[in-house]
Amino acid sequence: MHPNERTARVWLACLVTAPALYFLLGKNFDWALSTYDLNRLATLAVSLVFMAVAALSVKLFNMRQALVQDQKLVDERDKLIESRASALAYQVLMLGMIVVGFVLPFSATRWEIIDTSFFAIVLAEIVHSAMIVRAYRNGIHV
Amino acid sequence: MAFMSKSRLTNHVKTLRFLSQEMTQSELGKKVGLTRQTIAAIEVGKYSPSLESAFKIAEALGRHLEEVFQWEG
Repeated sequence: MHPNERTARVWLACLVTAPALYFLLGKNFDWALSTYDLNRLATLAVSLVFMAVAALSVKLFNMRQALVQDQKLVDERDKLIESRASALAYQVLMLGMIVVGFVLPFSATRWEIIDTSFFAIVLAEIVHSAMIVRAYRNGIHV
Repeated sequence: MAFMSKSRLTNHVKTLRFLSQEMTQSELGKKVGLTRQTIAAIEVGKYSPSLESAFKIAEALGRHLEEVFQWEG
């Protein structure tokens, strides 16, 4: 399996599990902190730290593998796949940010705005990673 | 966008690699500046290389470009 595909698969798994836990448990999970906002922030922070640690671990593993196997980490195919996936993810992210920036401020609470922003970022990243996995599995042509 | 479209570019990279003293995908990749996985993807038609890489591959295999890559028009 290509290192970038491995990274994308792990990242995709993190993107599905960590935010899912946040969105399912975030509102009710009690960290015994003084305020509701701090509890929500703590749940959000735990989700983000979990995702960051997982992503960093796979990146370091791939870099080590590349060094051991004396192999380049990226070439023209990897750059093409990355640019295609980024272009798609950018559109999803823009749509989410338009909703968050122009629609929600007039009707939603601050936590609804924060959650929607987080969801838009996660969704864009899911699209990005899914496109990378798909391109490595099924192929990509200019 | 062409994530899954079937390429009309065919090639004989795998055959010519074996005819070139059984060169491995890694060895060819190193010669032309591509990863082993990209050479594998080119061989099975999952990726169409850039013109520059196509020329480099042909050169590394000691062939003319049209002997390595063919366009099914």
